[in-house]
Amino acid sequence: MILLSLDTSTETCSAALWHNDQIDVISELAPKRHTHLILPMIQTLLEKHQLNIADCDAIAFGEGPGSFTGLRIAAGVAQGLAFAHTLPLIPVSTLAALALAAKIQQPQLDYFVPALDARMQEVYFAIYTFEKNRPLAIVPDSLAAPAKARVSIAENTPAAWLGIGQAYAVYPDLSQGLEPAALMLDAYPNAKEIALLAKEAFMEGHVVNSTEALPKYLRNDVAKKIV
Amino acid sequence: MLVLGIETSCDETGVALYSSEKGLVDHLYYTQVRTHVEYGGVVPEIASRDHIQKLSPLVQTLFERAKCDISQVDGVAYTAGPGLAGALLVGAAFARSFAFARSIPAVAIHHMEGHLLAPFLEAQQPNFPFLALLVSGGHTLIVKVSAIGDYQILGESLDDAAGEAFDKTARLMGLGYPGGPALAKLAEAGNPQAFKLPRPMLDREDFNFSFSGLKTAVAHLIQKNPEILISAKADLAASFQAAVIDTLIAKCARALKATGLKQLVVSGGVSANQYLRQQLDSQLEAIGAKAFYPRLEFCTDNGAMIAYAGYLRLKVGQARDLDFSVRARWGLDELKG
Repeated sequence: MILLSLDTSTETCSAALWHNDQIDVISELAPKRHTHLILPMIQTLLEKHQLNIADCDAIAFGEGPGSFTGLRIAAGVAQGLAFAHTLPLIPVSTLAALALAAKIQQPQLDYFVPALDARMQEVYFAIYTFEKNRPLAIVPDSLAAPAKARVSIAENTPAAWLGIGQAYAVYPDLSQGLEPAALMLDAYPNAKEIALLAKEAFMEGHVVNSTEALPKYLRNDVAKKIV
Repeated sequence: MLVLGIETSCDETGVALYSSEKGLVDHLYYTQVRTHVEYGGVVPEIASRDHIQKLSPLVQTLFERAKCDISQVDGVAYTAGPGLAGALLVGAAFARSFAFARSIPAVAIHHMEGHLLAPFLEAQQPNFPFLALLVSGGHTLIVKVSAIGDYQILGESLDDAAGEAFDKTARLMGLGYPGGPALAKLAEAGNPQAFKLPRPMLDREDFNFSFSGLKTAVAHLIQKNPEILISAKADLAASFQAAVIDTLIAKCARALKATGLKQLVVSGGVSANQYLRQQLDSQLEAIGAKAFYPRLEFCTDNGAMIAYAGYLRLKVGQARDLDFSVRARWGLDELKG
């Protein structure tokens, strides 16, 4: 199968291509430059493998949580690409992608707790474990204050766990008094793991069309009503 | 040449197909105006969220309704500014990516250029050069249009845009949000001479506007005598409307005289105002000039004007690279032909 993936949910901009049972990735830490970089990255990958968008079986994107604008860039690009050739789309959790990246590096651990800075003194977090390399959410992707997330982590990690993401650096409160096996602070969601997760989802038929592929913001209370 | 046009700069999602042979093939739009009512104004984040939900289904419906296949599209035009950055990005990302996937060119369009050229979608069209009054909730501009991309801004509002003044004054009068159209409707039953309101900046030689003082004048009237909102509400609406429109027309007439031009294009949301159209038509006739308007549904933001502007630029080989950055602020006079 041929699968293209992209992620613009955080400061990292990345694209990946699964082709001939191998994955090829282009990734750059590039805050606010996603609109410049993402399509050229996709073009470079396709040209290198002598493929066109039309050759892809599906397109995957990081649905969130993450920067609202970043999530819309990814969804908008994915929708536009998919609509052009009526391709199926696969939205993938950015937190699941972070958990998978950590699992690949530390396969001996059982619990993975990715956390992203949601601003306004809150974090996006989840607790994942793995069953035959497939992420299983013990606590689903959530939005919470760091102290509240910490309680959830304490209650739901019966064995050694790994904290993943910059939120642990931004909010020391998140792991205060807890004993993570390690913290991987310098980790961002990446199109590589988005593609790996999407491949499984595609095999199982979990796809949507271009009108259904939307960001997963988690924070929905974004403005005050006057009435 | 068949061009897909996409507009997402504020609170309207607009899509259209324009054909060089057949003209406008079809267009669709979705307005979020009701979504923002409970917030008392456009909330950028909510507008952006609505665009990403509505755009793709709207484009799909457009192709179905127009009985066109996406393989027939030769180019894509999208609004790249000015406007709300988050909202613009939705249209830009979708449009640029669609064009990339189809290996066809895409072109980034200035929203106000779209409005400026909207009357060319009608049977009665102006010829270059002409003068344009772009008047909406976000802009009040007098522009000298010598050719496509050759725009000289002669005057603009130094504070509130005309449409903004309508909406703000409507709120003062308890007409809700967005109350501009409601104020205009109410004015139909009122006497425009009932209240003496200033005609701002008419004593100045330039072509600039200032409407915030007018809103303050209405606020003072209401403060001094709250009764008028019961006894003379329509008169107040009519007097306010006349003050704005007299000023717009006086400055346009002055600019026509100064430039020697005889054609005035009037576009943007406020150009739907019937009192403005009546007054303009009669006053321009008196000085041997003529006004050109888009049809009412193209006065507000729409995809048709973007598809048309895109067609003109694609036709001469202009195209954007794979970068789809947008510009929240973007001067019309920065454009080139």
